[in-house]
Amino acid sequence: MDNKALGIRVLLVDDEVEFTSALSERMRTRGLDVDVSSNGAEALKMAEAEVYNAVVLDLAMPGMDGIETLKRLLGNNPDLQVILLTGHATLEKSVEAMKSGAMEFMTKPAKIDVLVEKIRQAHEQHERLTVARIEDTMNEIQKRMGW
Amino acid sequence: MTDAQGHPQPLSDDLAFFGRISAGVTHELNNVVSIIEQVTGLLEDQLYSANAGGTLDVDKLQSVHDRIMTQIDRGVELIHNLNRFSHTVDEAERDTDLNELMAILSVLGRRFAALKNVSFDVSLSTASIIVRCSPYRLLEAMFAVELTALTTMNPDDQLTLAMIHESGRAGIRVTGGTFDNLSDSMELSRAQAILAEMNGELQLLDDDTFGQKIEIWLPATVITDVF
Repeated sequence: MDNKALGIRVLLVDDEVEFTSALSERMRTRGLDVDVSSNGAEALKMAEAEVYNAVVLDLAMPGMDGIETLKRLLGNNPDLQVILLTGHATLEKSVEAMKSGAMEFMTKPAKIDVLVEKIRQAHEQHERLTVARIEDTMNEIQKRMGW
Repeated sequence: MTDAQGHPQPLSDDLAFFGRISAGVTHELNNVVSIIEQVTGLLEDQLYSANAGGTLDVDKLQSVHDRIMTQIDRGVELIHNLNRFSHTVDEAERDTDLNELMAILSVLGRRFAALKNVSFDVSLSTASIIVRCSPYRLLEAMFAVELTALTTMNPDDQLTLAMIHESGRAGIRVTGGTFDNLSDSMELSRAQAILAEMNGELQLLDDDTFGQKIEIWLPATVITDVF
């Protein structure tokens, strides 16, 4: 266990407050910078206000469910890497989640080391997409300006 | 399941009800186990730190203990009521205390209300209310009423189920929602059909105090001096 800051920002979304409390504490111990939300609507606002390298999202929540939250998160920010972490492990739900753009579908209970590794992968993918997007923008500007 | 020609047949509503309750409760039990896993992980992290030369935080250990015990209590309550629910299929018909079914509903029905951010208040009766029925089928009707009522409710509303009785009959009064558009509800029709089998009835009524209410009535023996 290495509690050196990893420079990875994570949003953890789950209506089980006791679960997010314990999991976020363990994630912080492992060097992640974690914010917590208990519902989809709040998570959307937080993801608009802050830049997250990964979102860990529950599927079954009061109000807006995980799939709807996932679709809206990616609608606002297509580069966002979302890991669904849920007790609902049906094949149908996992297929729907992946088709909707989730990076990963994990079932609870989940081992912290496996989850942190997925978050690291999400961070790397997010960085790659961000760099590629900046390069595309730079190329577009150069083309437009005739440089 | 297939028919004689091998064509798939739809599952019965009774079986679907059993599946729906089992799925909901096991999902919640999975949450309990997941929380215990993470809270136990805090203990593991503490031990790791202590083995690396740090000190054990006694307050932290106490907090971890208390949090685990809370989840164990929650899990035991769910398992206990799931077991009671499963045993309601043991007999096709028996004398059943309505309090017993209300107690099961109060625990197993809580999650459906929570998913709508609706608070769920179930009050039992001090009287013993004995109904001759299939306890499983009556629970099926009670859940159908709860789920139908929830469709009319908004976040932060309160759904209240209270037991009511008068001479020779007893039942449940459901309040907290706006029920005037429910007369075409299929779930409510199903509940009505189940209650009719038990010589009971379901009514949608206006009420001076509650606005609107759903009442279930069944023939019952009411024993008020249970203490």
